[in-house]
Amino acid sequence: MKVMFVCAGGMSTAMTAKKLEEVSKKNGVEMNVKAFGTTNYLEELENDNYDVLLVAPQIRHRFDVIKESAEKFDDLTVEKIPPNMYAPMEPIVKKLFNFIMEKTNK
Amino acid sequence: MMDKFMTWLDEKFSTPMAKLAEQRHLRAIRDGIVATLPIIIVGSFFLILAFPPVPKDSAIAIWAAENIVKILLPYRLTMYIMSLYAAWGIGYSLSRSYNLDGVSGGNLAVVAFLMTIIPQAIDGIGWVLPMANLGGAGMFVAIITSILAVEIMRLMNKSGFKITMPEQVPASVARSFEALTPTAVVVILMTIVSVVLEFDWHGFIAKIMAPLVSTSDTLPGVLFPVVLITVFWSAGIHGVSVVGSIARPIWTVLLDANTAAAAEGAKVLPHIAPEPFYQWFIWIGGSGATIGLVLLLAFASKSKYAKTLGRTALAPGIFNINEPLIFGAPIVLNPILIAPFILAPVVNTIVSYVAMSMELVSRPSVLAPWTLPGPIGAYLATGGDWKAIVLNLICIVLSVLIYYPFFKLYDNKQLELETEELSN
Repeated sequence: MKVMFVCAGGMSTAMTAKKLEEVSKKNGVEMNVKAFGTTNYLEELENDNYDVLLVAPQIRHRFDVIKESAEKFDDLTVEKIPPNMYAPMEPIVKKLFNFIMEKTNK
Repeated sequence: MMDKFMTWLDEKFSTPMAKLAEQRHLRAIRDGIVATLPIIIVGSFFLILAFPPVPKDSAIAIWAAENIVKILLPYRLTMYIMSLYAAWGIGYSLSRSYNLDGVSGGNLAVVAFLMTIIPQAIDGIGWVLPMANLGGAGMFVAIITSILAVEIMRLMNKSGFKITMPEQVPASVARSFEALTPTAVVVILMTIVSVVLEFDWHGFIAKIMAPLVSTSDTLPGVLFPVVLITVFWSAGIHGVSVVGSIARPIWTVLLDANTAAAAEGAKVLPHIAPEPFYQWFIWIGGSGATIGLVLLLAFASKSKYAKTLGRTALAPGIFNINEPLIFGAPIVLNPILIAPFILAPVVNTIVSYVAMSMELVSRPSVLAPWTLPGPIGAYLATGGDWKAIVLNLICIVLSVLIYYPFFKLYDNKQLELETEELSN
C-alpha cells in the first residue's frame, strides 16, 4: 500500500512516516510511506500511484483545499490524521496504522 | 471549565481563523514569498563573506574589505531584488489556484511589477533599472501588482475576450496567444498609471504601510504574533504557517532593510525583529521555545512515557522541529503544558528584545536555514556575533526554567498513570 503524508514542509511527517513503515511491517502489511510539503505533494501524486493521502493535523485547516485538489485521482483515500495519532512513537503510530486499515477497508 | 475553553479554542477560534488564512490571495502571497526563501538565504550569506567574523586586521578581513563590491554582487542579484522573484511566485501561485496557466500568470505579474519602476538613461551605460524598489522595499507593491495582473487575466479569460486558437495548434502556442489580450490590457493599464499619470506606486504604498512596518518592530508588535502563533499551536494548528501569511511580507521588509544597511557597513542595524529574531531567540526548538521541555523530558524525567518521548523528540528538537512533542506529549489542548508553551516565548521575546534595543547583541541581517541548531543559527543570523550565541543560550536556560514546574506536574501525572497500570 502506498501512503502519502502532507504537512507544511514535509519534515515533521517524515519521522512519523518512517515509524509507520516499521509498525505496518510488524503487523504484516507492506506500507510504503512518503512525506511531502503542501507545495509539492500534488506533483508527486501525478507522478506516482498512491492509495492513501493523509493530511497532518497541524494543517487540517487546509484539508478542504487539498481534498478538492486530489479529487481527480480515483481510488485515492483522503483523510485527516487525528491529532492523537500523530507522533513518531510506537503506541501512537499503532493507532494511526489501525486508523488507516479501517479507512481503506471500505 | 478548562475543557470548555479548550473546545472553544479549537472549534471557535483556531480552526476558523486558520481557514481565513486559506483565502486564495493570502495563500498565493504566502506560497510566492516562501518560494523566494532559498534565494534570500543563499543571497544573505554573502553578507557574512563580505564582513567575515574575524579580526579587522587579519588577511581575510582586509581581502574582503578590498573586494566588497564584487563579493556582494551575488547578494545584489538575489536577495537585494527579492520582490521581483516574489512577484513571479505570487503570480504563478494565484493563477494556478484559478486553474489558469501558471507560467503566464507569473510572467504577467513580473511585467506589472516592473512597470512600477521607471528606467533611467545613464551616459556611457545606457538604460538602467533602479534596483532599490525591486527588493524588500517594493514587496507590498509586488503583492498588489501581481494580484492585479492575475485578476485581469482571470477576468479576460472568464469574459471570453481572448484569442482562441483552433484545436490543431499545439498547446504551448495556443497558450501564448491566449495570454495576448490580458498582457496587452496589463501593459496599457500600467503604462497609463505609471508613465502617463506618473503615479508613484512605491512612495504611495510605502506611506500607507509605514505605520504597520514600524509597529511590527516594537515590543508589543513582536509579542502579538508570538502569542498568536502559540495559541494556534495549542489547538494543534501550524501557527507560523497561518500567521506568516500576513506577517512574512513585513518580516521580509524588515530583514531587507537590515541587510541593505549591513551591506553599507552600518554598525547598528535599523530593525530588531525580522524573522531571524523570532527564529533564533524565541522559537528555539520550535514554536513555544520547546527546547527546554525536550531537554527536561530527555534527561530529567522519571516516567517511562516522558523518557521515551524525550528521546524521540530530542534530535528533531535540536533542529527546531517540535511536532513530535506538540502531538506526542501532547501540548495540544493540554492546559498544563500550554501555559509554559505561551509563557516561555514571551519571556524570551522580552529578554532578547531588550538585549538588542540596548545594542548588547547585533541585530539580525542574515536568513539562516531554520533547521540549524539554535546557537549556530543565532551566530550566523547576526552576521557572526558571538554575543548572539550567549543570548541564545540564555534563552535556552530560561526555557528550561519556565518549563520545569509544569514538566514536573506532567511527569508525575504520567508516573501515576504508569503505576496504576502496573497495579491493575
